[in-house]
Amino acid sequence: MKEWLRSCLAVVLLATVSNTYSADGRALFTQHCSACHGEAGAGGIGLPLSAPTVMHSLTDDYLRKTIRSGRPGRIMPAFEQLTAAEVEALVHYMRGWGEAKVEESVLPLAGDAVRGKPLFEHYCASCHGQDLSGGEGTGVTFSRARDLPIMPPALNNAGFLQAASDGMLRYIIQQGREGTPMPSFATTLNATQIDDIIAYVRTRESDTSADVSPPESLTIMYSVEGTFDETVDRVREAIRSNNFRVFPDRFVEEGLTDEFSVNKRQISLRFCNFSKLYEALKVEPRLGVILPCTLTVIEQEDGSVKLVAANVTALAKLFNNNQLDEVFAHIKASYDTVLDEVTF
Amino acid sequence: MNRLTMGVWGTLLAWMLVAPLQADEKLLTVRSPQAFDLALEQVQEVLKKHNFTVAHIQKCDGGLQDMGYTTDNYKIVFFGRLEEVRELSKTHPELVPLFPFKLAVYAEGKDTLFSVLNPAELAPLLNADKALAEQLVVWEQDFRAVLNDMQVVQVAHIH
Ligand code: HEC
Ligand code: HEC
Repeated sequence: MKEWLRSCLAVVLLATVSNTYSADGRALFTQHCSACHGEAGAGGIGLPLSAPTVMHSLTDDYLRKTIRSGRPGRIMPAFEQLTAAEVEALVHYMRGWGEAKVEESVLPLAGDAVRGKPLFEHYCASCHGQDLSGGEGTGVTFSRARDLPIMPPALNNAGFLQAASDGMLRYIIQQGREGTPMPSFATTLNATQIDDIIAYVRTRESDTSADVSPPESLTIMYSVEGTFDETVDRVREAIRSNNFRVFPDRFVEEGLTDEFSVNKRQISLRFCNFSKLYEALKVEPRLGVILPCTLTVIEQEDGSVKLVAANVTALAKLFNNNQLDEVFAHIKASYDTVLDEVTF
Repeated sequence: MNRLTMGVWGTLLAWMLVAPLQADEKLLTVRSPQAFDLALEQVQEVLKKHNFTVAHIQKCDGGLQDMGYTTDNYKIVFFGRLEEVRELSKTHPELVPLFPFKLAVYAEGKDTLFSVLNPAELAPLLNADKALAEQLVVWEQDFRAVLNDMQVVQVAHIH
């Protein structure tokens, strides 16, 4: 009996293991990557990957590390949960788009960052940014107005710099990526100059030491003096007087049930700033999951009145997108202005 | 094989089976190779199939266009289940800003994308007790089921 159980378990285990090893790279790509990189790697919120000139410039090792570490602050998440076999399957699948042509030089990088700085500023900063933080927005978002068809990635990103070898960087700068805005500098810059630029880029790696502050709560609840109706009026007035675009109020349950049974003691007051929204959607199309700005007034069973708001600082951390910092600072200021008027 | 070894193997096996599901994704996003209007229609059907009610649809694109901005299709679908909203806004009023849930539906070229917050990832931010944590996981599973259904194409465009 015990023997029987043991072999049974072994079979199940083996099946699981071999199943993991033959993991289907294409299916994994669809599941984890295609939302951002496009169905067949053509690009989206993430960079295009399937162009042969892109794949020529990416080594297997770089792909593995990029999948594992992502791009802190530049949307791409770290896929720590994938098994080694799954990562291999993904790399294998992506290799179908083009082989790696990077040659790792045996000579260590001999560049001089001080000489590299002005070269970078002259040849690269117009696209990758003076501070190397990349274009406004990421990848190829076809639907929104952009300056370039593909947004230049951040070169100071720790996820990128720790994954990319010097050989890879040399190759990309020399060859460029045909079919993308990234030009070839083979005839403009000599080998020493390229090494100088790489040395400079390496000195600009941004600090990603993990944020150790304890997580803030997602929402904030205020007890308010005054009746439910008075509070709703006060919040509405505060929103109006601050020149936000105001949407019609909604009961929290509105649309989930009919008008007779809807709880009328839970009202959401909603507002928005369209110019900020427009800018924000260019750098973060996923922003809709937390829109619009809402303050909710609820009357509890004991008659007490509460004002509940989202905590913008906590929301901001869900996106892994540091280009949103400014937008979120603005949204937070909007909430604070209204809240200050109502809660004091 | 003694009990302990079996326990160890069992745990290992269980871990191997569930590990790939524990993705650390704060936002869930899928792409459908389907034109926006069709995808928007389909997602309402799919939400219904998973016992959600669509409360309303906010036309962000329309609002932006009225203000003079050029934008492609962008809508937010508000959805939820009455009993859950009613019950939890009593027991956990701090959840109220999440209700109804918001699903962003937006065009990207010929494709349509769907994004939603991953409720299970919000547990630490809500200081969730056991019951709430379990509810959040159930919602995550429901949202994933909805998004999976959206990848099943009814009428795809030609790429
Ligand atoms: C005209 C704009 C433009 C200029 C000028 C430019 N780049 Fe780029 N660069 C891009 C774009 C766009 C990409 C992304 C291309 C792709 O893969 O789709 C890119 C990609 C790269 C990459 C790969 C980054 C990654 O995440 O894989 C490196 C490295 C790079 N550029 C370095 C440089 C350096 C160094 C210079 C100056 C010598 C430079 N670029 C000049 C637009 C530019
Ligand atoms: C939530 C969106 C998102 C997801 C999901 C995502 N990525 Fe990315 N990825 C990006 C973005 C954005 C960039 C470019 C960062 C920048 O512009 O600085 C990127 C960059 C990359 C690069 C670097 C390309 C280059 O030219 O150097 C690779 C490789 C990559 N991703 C692979 C993957 C793989 C494989 C997966 C799935 C396991 C994946 N990504 C999932 C958003 C995403």
